[in-house]
Amino acid sequence: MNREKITGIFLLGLGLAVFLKSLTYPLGTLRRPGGGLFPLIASVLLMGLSALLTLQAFRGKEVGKSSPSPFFPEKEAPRRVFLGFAGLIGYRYLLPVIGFAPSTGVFIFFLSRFLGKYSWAISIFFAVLTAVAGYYLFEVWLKIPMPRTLFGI
Amino acid sequence: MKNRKQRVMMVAVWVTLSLLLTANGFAQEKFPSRPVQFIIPWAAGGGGTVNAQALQSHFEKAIGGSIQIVNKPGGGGTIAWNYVANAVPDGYTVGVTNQSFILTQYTTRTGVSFKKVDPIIMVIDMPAALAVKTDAPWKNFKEYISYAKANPGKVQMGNSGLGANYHVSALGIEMVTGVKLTHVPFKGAGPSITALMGGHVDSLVAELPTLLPYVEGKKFRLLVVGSPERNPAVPDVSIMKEEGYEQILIGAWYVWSVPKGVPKERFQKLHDAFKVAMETPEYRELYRKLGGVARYMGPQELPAFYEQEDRKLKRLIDYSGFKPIE
Amino acid sequence: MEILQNILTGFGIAVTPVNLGLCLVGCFVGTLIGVLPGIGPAATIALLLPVTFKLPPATAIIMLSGIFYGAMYGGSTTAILVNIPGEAASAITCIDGYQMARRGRAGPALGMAAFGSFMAGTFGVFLLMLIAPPVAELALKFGPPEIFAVMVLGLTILSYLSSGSLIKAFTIAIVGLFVGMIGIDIAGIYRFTFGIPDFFDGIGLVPVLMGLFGVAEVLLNLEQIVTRQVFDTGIKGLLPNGEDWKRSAMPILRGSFIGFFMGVIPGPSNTISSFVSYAMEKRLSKTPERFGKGAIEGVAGPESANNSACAGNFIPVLTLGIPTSAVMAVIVGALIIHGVTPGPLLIKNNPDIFWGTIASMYLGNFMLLILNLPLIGIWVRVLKVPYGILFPLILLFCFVGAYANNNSLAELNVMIFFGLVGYLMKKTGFEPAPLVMAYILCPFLEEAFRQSLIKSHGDFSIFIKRPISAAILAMAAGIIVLNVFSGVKKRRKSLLEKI
Repeated sequence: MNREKITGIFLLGLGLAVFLKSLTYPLGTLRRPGGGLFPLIASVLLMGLSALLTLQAFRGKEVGKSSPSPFFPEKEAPRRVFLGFAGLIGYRYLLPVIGFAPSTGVFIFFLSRFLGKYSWAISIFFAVLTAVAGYYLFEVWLKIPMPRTLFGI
Repeated sequence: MKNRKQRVMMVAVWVTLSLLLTANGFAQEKFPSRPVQFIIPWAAGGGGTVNAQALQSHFEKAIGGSIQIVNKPGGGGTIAWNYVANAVPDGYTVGVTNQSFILTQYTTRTGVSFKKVDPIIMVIDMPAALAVKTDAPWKNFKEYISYAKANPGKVQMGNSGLGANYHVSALGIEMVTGVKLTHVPFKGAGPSITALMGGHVDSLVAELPTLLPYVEGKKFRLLVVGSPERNPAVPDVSIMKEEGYEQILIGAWYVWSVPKGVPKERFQKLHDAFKVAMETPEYRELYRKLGGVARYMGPQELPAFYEQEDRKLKRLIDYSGFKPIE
Repeated sequence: MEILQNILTGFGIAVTPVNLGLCLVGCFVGTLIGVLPGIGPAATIALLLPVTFKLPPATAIIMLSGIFYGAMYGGSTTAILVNIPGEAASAITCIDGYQMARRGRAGPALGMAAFGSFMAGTFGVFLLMLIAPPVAELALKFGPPEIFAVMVLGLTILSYLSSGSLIKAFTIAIVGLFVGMIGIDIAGIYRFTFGIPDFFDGIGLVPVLMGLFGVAEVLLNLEQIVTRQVFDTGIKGLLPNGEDWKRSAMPILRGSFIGFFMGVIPGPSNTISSFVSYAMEKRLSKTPERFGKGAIEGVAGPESANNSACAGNFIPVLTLGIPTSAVMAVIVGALIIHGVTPGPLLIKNNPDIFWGTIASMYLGNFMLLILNLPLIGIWVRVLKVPYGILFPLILLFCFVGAYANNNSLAELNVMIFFGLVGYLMKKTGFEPAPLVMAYILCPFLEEAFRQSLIKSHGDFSIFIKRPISAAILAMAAGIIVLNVFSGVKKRRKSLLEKI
């Protein structure tokens, strides 16, 4: 089961899902086209194209240039990408809890320390600097309303 | 081990620093001690933003604080109205409502009941009007209606969105005159005006302020205005009552409201600041040129007003058979 | 000549110290927010509007237009440097611009973007000055069927955007259509929203852009040890060389025309013009394989197009008072607040505003060129910053940008989600540009389609009966046929070679 086959099948499934969901919306008539018409047409097209893709994948042809195999060029790669992703999610959910400046600090610290492999001191310094600068740039100077935290700040 | 202690110290310093930075919101003795948020349910640049900006400087002076204009467009306005209705009632969140506020109760599943907010003040009333191009064959409302009666479905009426003010106004015209039009929806008043200019629709209902420049530029002709009396900006255009029909055109009034439960003193402060701002000559002059009427209505009469508008709009919704679908 | 006299009056108004100064401020602020992803010109103009209350209307509009122009310049900067388009219209610039940066040619890319934008912008204003009213009349002829045709044309041109597989490009474009369908449609039905109120009006463009281009690229780069350099910092010259100029001359000229005329059409015309330009340059080039790997024509053409389109954008506003985009709507609002009623009478009643604005556009373009050229040295130095420090800041900017767009936390989720999607797409041979373009076009495409059917009472021939839409659809059909033919020819050739 290589990448191409999985992608093709996934897209086929996506098209099918949208197709079914669009049937639940009013299709309307040609005189008064409803909300379901357009998604229906598009999903049919998608199913056709992804079927083509899947077919070509099973015939062993690589469609166009895709990324060189293997999937991850380096051994450490999946861990790093995962960490980065985790950092993003963490930052997002920290924001409404402790506010912009502290969350930013934690986020930058996390990335610098665990991905950038900087020392604790440098990471903290960088984190505080960015948090303070960010606060002044975005909240005070540009007056962007940041998410209100639990404390109503 | 020394590293660990250093680490803990630094984290403590950093945490304290951050808390200090964000702690300014804790002390709230004087109102307002931080910016009051004006929540606008539509994208920047439209009537709501213009109104907020028109009120801004005098409001800020009157209330002794600053305001922050926040646009929260989406869902036909329901995103912002939900936000306002559910906000902390500390007087720092104020939102602008218009007829769509009441309409979306019926046209969407996310509409907010008008009973969930406390209206502070009405600051402006902008009537709607029916417009056609100056080279159109109909010189007045009577001719338009008789043509439409004789040719059901042939006359194309543009609107700013299905279920929005002006579509409902057009439905109102159908309801009281018995004609059948073809409603072509657009995303907002701007595109509908472009469509009328290009001749892609025959007629249009929109806000008077939006239409005025084109009337003065001799591109559009107004057939009728939807207000209780003739509008001073277009004194020769008749009103629905004169044409023999009830006043069914839905324009746009703006009522600023807060979530229920704001302390009385703060509510009063907000109201007074609004009142001062809307009574300044600059505000009146701005809207006089635009064809809006700076009509005042206060918190005593507003709840009943909401009810009255609700009844009027519900009638039209029932006539149109509109149902929210998800 | 009357126009000469008018423009001289205009310059007279524009060249006062106050107006010049504020034009500069506007350009500077505009560039800044163009560089900061997510915080767009519309929001900034609305934010800064109160600052202009004490100023005379002409001055206010001059400053605010400067912001608009500046944002266009700034948007290309981030597109080239970090693959994040500051504006949707700069998304195309990411394709070749960023590749040039990775190969150490960020300087020439930025330089050509600046020069191209300047020349095209000036050219656009020049045309604006001469033929604004008749062009406006022409634009009015574009009703729903014509807009539908233009959108279809845009979609067919997508095939030229990608250097990879055609099937994959169209496939991912349809996925982009799906993303565009999320939210309320023109009949008032909520589609594919899963009950989340923040999605009722659709998924914001900014989070999608930030995620697909910015976050995805960072995730991809994280695969390598982060202390390594992502950018080849053997800087090969700060400015475009003779070879670059030779290659870019015609793309700039063509882009100027394309941009200007498309800019008058309502809708995402600036963005469409940028990729029409890209497609055209790729098609006309004798070495199309260079596109996608750092071909300077892929920067010069689109950047020229989208700057010239800005001038085109102003035409409906200044001659008819009709805004054709969100930014223009804010400018109209600004005019109203200053007591100027935009409309067909603007030129007659407020000639100082009309001509003053036009004159300041010339000046603004020039100022932006002067502003941006020295900055190139600084930007290039930014790329030298270790990626370990750079990427957290990039992500931070993405976050702020995506949140500030609509003050919505849900849109941050969207951004992260599309970051993942973009990452997976890169790994499986799909390019982000077709998805984004289709997403942008979708609402207009569908709306125009349905409006046309309502108007014609269900009759499909409305698209062919009207001359303009018929012509455009024929063009689109022609492109598809050409594509299929060359694809067949290529396959036949490779088959022959195998024998």
